[in-house]
Amino acid sequence: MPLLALLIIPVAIIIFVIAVYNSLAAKKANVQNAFAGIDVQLKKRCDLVPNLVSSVKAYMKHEAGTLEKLTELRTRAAAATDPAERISLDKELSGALKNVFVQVEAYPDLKASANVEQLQRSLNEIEEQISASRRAYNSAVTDYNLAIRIFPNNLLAGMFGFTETTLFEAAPEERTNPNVGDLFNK
Amino acid sequence: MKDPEPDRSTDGRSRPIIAGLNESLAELRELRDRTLKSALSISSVIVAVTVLLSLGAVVVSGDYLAFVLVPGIILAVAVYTTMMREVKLKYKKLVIPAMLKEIDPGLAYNPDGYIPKEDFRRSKIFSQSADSYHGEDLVCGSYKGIPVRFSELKVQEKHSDGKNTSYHTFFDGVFMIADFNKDFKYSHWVLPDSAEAAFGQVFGNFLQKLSLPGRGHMTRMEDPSFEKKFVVYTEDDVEARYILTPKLMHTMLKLSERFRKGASRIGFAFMNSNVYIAIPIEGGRDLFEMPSRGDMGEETARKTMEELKEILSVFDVMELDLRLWSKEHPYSGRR
Repeated sequence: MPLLALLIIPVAIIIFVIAVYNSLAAKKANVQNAFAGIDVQLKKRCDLVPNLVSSVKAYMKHEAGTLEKLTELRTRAAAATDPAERISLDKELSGALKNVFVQVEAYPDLKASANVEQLQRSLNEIEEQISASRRAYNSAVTDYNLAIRIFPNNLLAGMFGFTETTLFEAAPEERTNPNVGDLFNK
Repeated sequence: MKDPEPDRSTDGRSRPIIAGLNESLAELRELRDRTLKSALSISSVIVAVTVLLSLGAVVVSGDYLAFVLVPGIILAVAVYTTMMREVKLKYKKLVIPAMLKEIDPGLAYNPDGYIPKEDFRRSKIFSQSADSYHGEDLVCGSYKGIPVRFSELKVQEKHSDGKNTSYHTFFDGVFMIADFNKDFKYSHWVLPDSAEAAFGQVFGNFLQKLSLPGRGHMTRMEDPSFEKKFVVYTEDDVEARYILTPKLMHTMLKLSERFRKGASRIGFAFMNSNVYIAIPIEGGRDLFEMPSRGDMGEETARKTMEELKEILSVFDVMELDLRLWSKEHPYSGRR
């Protein structure tokens, strides 16, 4: 009987450790996948910029500076490899894009063009997808961080090098859930 | 954020159409009262004859002829219901198309039509089996340029313990299907959180995670008040959040407060680029019905108009006609 106990206890401990490790590793993989999801959307937004610039530059001669800044931001964002730098540049790019569409309002011909409307629609779509990816990422991070914190996972998490991940902070204007419809209705 | 309150105004715009129906409604009221009288008389005669036959049988042979009495009463009820049904149908055919024309000429009405069982089943909003399935008052067409369909439904599941069979109603209300304003590939469900309400957060959460086969997996949204009322199942986490924006979640919460019937709450499914909505109606009352007695005029028509607007307001508050994303308006030039 004691021999059996001696055998069962270590086996049970090993199974438990494997289960905790696998569960934490799966949650960490979810976090990484979710981050990759954001990255895909950010790239899509970068790809939209050249198309937008070529569609509007003929009309917006007075705003050449705005368009140049947009192109430069796009080049830097596309080349950035550090995630923190990428995110920061992307916030700037997002602001610059919104700025361009606000300026489009001053050119009725341009605003009415099907191409610009299509671009606006694509931008809205990507913004919505980015917001969804961020929320999915935050949900995966919350799930992962909680799994690391709870007992007895917290005893093993440190041992296996699982550390808490920070949430994706949305820019203040993104938290207010703006109504992009206003851009069409103006 | 604007709360999705129904547009209850039967304002000046709808007054002329209601006033235009006044004469027809007065005629219909006369017809209803006449039919009611005849239906009651015929039914009474049938009941009286069967009662006399039964009593006669008791006197003559000493046998109690229940086999005459029961079918007699059933026949009387059937005669009454059939006669009144014709008048009720006339009311619906007179009032509802006129109201719909006023609200949106793109909408059509079929009093006997209903959402097909296949659509109801495919939505997977309910896990029960639809063994008895009835419906009426199908409205379909385009509302503000968006393809929509809805009808009243009463759906029951059969329970049998070997000897007795009974039917349990698990949905009695309005079932709606509409073209959603965003394109999506996977299926998602937003269902009333009955498990968490009944068993508390910990055990309720465990039960929710079990889900149904073919309903994806459970995912948690960041809004605690939304999570308290609903449970979300999805086939794709990112797409679920693409559909369930904070604004839409707020709207769904408001709708859940507005439409409730006992423990039943509103449920949603998003699939095939459509949104499916199951709305329980308080008290299981029949919508768009003619009053069986009393006055029938402007007030009655106005009530029917309000009921129609209340149902259609669900599409309004969900902003299904707002097409800002890659999915364009189904009918160009109608935005």
